[in-house]
Amino acid sequence: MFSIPHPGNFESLKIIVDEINKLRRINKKLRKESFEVYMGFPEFIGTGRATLYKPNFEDLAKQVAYTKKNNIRFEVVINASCIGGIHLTPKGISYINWIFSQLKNIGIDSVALSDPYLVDLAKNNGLDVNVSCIALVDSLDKAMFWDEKEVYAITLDSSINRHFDIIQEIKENVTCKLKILVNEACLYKCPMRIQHFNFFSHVNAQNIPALDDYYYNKCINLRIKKKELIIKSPFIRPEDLKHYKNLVDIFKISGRSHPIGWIKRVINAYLSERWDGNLMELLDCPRELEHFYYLDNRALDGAIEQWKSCNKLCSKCNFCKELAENALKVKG
Amino acid sequence: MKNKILNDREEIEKFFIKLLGREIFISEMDVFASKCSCVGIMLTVRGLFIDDVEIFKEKILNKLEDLAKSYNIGDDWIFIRVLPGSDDVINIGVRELCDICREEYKFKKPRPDLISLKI
Repeated sequence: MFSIPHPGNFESLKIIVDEINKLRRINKKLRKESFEVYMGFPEFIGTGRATLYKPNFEDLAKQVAYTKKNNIRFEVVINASCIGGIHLTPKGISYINWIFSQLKNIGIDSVALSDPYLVDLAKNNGLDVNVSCIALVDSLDKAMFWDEKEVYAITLDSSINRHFDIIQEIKENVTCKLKILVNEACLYKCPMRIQHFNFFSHVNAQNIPALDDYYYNKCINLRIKKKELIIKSPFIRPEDLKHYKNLVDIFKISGRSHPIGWIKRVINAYLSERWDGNLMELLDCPRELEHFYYLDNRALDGAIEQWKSCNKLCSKCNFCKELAENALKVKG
Repeated sequence: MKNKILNDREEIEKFFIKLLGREIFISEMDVFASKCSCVGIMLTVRGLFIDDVEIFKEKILNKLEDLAKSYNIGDDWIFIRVLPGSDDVINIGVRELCDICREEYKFKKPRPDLISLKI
């Protein structure tokens, strides 16, 4: 299954569904493939990414009906990494229960959450739950914790995208589906990941007049200083999806806050499992660098074989650094 | 050039105030060039709403086209950016698009917070 980013407004949804249907018509393999779209739903709970549109329940219901007519699942993302404790107050519990009951009535197929308490509330309301990547599931122990809650799926922390041994161990020991982010190119084991998600969680939901996004700016600066960080970031190329097909059930394309034209381009590449050109043009984060770096996708052919057996002891290995020298050029 | 930008910021603020008959604040006017090869003008605006832009769309478009022309910037895409979840317009932009951005923005709503007035 492919999970497709949806910016949240009906116009964008129609473009996405048209694109999926077009690809289904021209690509035989995709006729048997299943799809879901996911969108942010920033009530006071917030989400882990910038959310540029907040539909009301009526709008949402129409969109859900439209996707069902087109045989596509619909997931709502409410995956703040911090809610500031409000969810554990009597008012907070009532409000969240009310939201979940509305989502259930509308016919949402699943809700992506990162807080175990919210997962329990959602399950009580009869909703299927996808554990968000923001829950940072990077080990079997964490995966077992969520699997015991009988969730529909777990989205793995992208930091383990190239740890095939860990993914394999999780796969063998959980009953839920496994979802993997394919083009979120955050820093490998980013030391600012939690703080950045916390920041987004609050500014999304509470309209905080933040002056700047420190974490994003720092991230960009680090990658200009050390370009091998781009290669080390755990993206999965469209051509390399096949290496994951026996390990995970759902390929999630990241990027619900980008223009719909960009989303169309990325859907095409990943569904066709082929991209010739600058791989930076497919990576969700950090998009700012796609006009600075040219990452030759063909030069990365076969690199996954190294990553599959990589022990991540980077100080003893220069593979990613050398690959960055060869494959990643500063554009003129 | 510095004086031209200063004068144009002031002039377009006066244009909006006269057009709408109330206070509109253009806190900043930027003339920019992007790495991708897009060039354009971006206005940071406060006090303007989507309805205002829809009602006076033609007059606003004419004004922005003239402004772009005075900088020798093409007006391939003229758009507004709204504060998510509200009717507040927070940016107005005129952009001469590169090929990649043309593909990305060629929609009425390329992103939920962007509304194309002309593409």
